[in-house]
Amino acid sequence: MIELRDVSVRYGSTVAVEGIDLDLPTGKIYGLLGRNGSGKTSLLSALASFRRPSSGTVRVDGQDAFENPAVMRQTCFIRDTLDTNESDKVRALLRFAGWMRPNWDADYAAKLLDLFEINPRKRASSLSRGQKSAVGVVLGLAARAPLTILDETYLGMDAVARSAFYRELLGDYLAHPRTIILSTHLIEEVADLFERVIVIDHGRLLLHEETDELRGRGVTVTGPAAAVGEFVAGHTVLGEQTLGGVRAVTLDWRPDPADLARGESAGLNFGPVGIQDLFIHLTSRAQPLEATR
Amino acid sequence: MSVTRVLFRLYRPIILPFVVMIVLADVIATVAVTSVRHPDFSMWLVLGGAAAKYWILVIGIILVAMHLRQFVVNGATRHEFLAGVAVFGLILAVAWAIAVPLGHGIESAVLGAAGKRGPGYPVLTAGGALRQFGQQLPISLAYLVSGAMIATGFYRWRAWTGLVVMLGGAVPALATDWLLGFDVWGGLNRGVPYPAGLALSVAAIALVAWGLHRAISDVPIRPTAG
Amino acid sequence: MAFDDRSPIYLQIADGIKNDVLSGALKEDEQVMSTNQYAAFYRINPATAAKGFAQLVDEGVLYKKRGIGMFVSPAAREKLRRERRERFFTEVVDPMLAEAKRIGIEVDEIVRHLGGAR
Repeated sequence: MIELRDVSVRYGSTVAVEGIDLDLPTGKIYGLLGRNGSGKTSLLSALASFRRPSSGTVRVDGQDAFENPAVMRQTCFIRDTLDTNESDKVRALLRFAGWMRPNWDADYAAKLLDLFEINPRKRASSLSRGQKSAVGVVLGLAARAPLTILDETYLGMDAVARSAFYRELLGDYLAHPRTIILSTHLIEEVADLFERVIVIDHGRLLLHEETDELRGRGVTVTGPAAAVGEFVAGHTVLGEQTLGGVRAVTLDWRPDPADLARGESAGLNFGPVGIQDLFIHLTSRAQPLEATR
Repeated sequence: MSVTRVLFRLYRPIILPFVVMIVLADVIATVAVTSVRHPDFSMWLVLGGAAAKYWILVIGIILVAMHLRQFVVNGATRHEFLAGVAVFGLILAVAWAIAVPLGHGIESAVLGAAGKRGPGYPVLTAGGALRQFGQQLPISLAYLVSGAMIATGFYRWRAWTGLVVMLGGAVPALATDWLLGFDVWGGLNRGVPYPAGLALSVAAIALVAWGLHRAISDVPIRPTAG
Repeated sequence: MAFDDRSPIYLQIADGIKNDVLSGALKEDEQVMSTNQYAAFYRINPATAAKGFAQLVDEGVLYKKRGIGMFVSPAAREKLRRERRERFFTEVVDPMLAEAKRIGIEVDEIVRHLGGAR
């Protein structure tokens, strides 16, 4: 179990992460979603002990994580910068990881380099954005760390490379189950891989749910303004539009069949809300509103 | 693999060429000088004693500026890194403190056998060898610690704080050099008695090493590339 | 089989396997894919796949043989057919009749049309 208790990360007077509590059972794939500047990287930095939380604690299997050799050895956090020296060759990066990582699989690393068509003799400085991400994937997966954290390691990758990344991620997870946390904006194409989804916004935890629970969680109700207003009263509104006398309201609500039948007889239409839309609605305003007539 | 072992792996391709280079430089320079006149000084003490310490300073800087992040992102704690660096640095410093009198001894013997020693040449004695070891060891350690602290000032803090830390970090190198540094004849520069110089040097090194430990033990690993 | 994110994937998995049982693509007592095979094949999280399979075991469509895998229950096809037939009129025919009424199609017209399809 990974436990975050009231974790805050501040840079001077800037608050990046504020009072986050999370319990993450190990052995699952998590998706960390949040807009740019929502505090994802700061949260992950605290989780991986790259930075001591300004306040609060991170515990892994009951042990305080910061500067704990047993925990840090088992944690692999890949950031988009790769955290390397620009003059290093890819080969040197992998060799270094091989020296330090107890579960490093050099053959698998070589296979992945091949898959992403990366020349190990290239220097880090001469890699394109997408190639850097791919090297990050290689470092992250081949380390086989019990806690593997990949921070947007798809930036600059084309659709083919991303697809290969997701396939390898899942395949390697199935063969070597471990805790994987993936932060991303590209929810739609990768959500199927996540067992659970964590959404943060403005440094605060917005949601931590089983991914499957989010599918079909929202609903869009469309119809005559008065009928819609009457129907949606009392539910949490995520967004709404009005055109002439027609009103469309997106709710954070899973109506049951009886509700749907009642709505349909009142001339209302119901539309599903995908995970991507739900995420956009949840994070596009600070506070969801209570519906009124 | 332990931090120390990885550091030796990393530095192996740097240490060996460095040693070969400095030995070659000494041989070539000595041959060149002896073709003109019999030298009155030890070329080895110029190169190995006076110049090599700057190389150790650079290692100290690189360790923090480049390797700290690399080790932590690959699963080492900051404390493991510091402990590994301490062992690595101590081994390097002791090895070099042995290499300085050893090289001087060889140079002294070869020049003596060839009959090329000038009248003022500092022939190495057993006592002299011991004293050189006793001077070189704290100097190497001081330059390593200073290099690391100077880099930490830049790594951890910005602007003025960093500058102050850098200046403070330079103290062991400057002080030890002033107190224990030797000239091209292998003698003490300033005439400060050795025990007093050693005590002050060790105090300066220990103080900055303690500060280094404090500054590194919870330093954030910032996401900057290169 | 492609999943959408408009309803939980585990339900879509369960529905897909039920359809395969109904169509005969999966025979009685035939072994189905393991959770991991299924997850790798359809590129979904294995926990989601496992939930879909667990649902089918609960409903009696699949049964487990410990250490071997999951198999289609002998009575599954018959049971599913019975359930679907019951739901056919409420879920397919009734909405069709409602729509027909809205746009003014007489029941006789529908019957004539269906007669042509016979």
